[in-house]
Amino acid sequence: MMQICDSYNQKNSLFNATNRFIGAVNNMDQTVMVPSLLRDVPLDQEEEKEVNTFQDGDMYGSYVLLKSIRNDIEWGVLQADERRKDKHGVTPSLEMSCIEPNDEDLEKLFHFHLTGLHTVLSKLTRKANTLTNRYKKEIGIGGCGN
Amino acid sequence: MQSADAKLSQSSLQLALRRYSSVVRDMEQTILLPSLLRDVPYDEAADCEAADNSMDLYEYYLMLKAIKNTVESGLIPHDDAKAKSQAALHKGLEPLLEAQPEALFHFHLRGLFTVMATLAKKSQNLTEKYLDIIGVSH
Repeated sequence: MMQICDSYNQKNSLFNATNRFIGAVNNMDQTVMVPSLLRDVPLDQEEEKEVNTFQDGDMYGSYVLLKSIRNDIEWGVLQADERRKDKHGVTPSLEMSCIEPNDEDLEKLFHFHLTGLHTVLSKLTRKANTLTNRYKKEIGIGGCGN
Repeated sequence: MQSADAKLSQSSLQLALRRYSSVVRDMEQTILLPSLLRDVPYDEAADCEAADNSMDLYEYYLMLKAIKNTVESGLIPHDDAKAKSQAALHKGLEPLLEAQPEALFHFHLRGLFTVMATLAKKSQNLTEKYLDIIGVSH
């Protein structure tokens, strides 16, 4: 049993990637006391170099998106689907097909989704941290002194 | 309302992964003689096409264990061939990573949920099959 606890601590596990992301978003959530201050704040000059990221949004849009994704991880896909159906009336375009994958494909699919999820989560964790720092800059804390 | 909440909490990512780990651990603890699984076809009722390509139970057992180890300990398998073959797949999705990370996130999350649930079920089936082989009623 101890072995399993140790391995959970390994840097690259999905558990840790997930926890880091949730932690970053919780930190963002707790820091951003007045989310409306993020409205119409354009994304950082630096961020825009990351091609087209959240292109159509402002920082507030990013904030809402990150919280929504955190909730999806914590509460699961079922609720996420329900919310999206209510909102848009359609299921997302990347809907999984209902074809049962064969046994060998299962392993490939596992690795594909695991790696993909890890990549997305890592990127979104950086986003959350950047947003938190940007907010702090906006309201004048954590900078060169008040 | 209570059952809806239970359904939601059951489907959370970490629970799904933990459930898989637990099912595979159960399989490992039950199957004391994995060699008995050699050359036993996974699904006797499989159609001809599947039967040609399918693994025997022993290979299946190894695969399920390897996946459990990946979930629990490390993310990136040390298999370069595997990584290369998937690199193209991920590259194709890169624009989506930038433009619609939420959609990509849901795609992978749903995919992972589906795969883990299927693998957990198959682990349980394999354990039961082993018990059949050694003649233990379950």
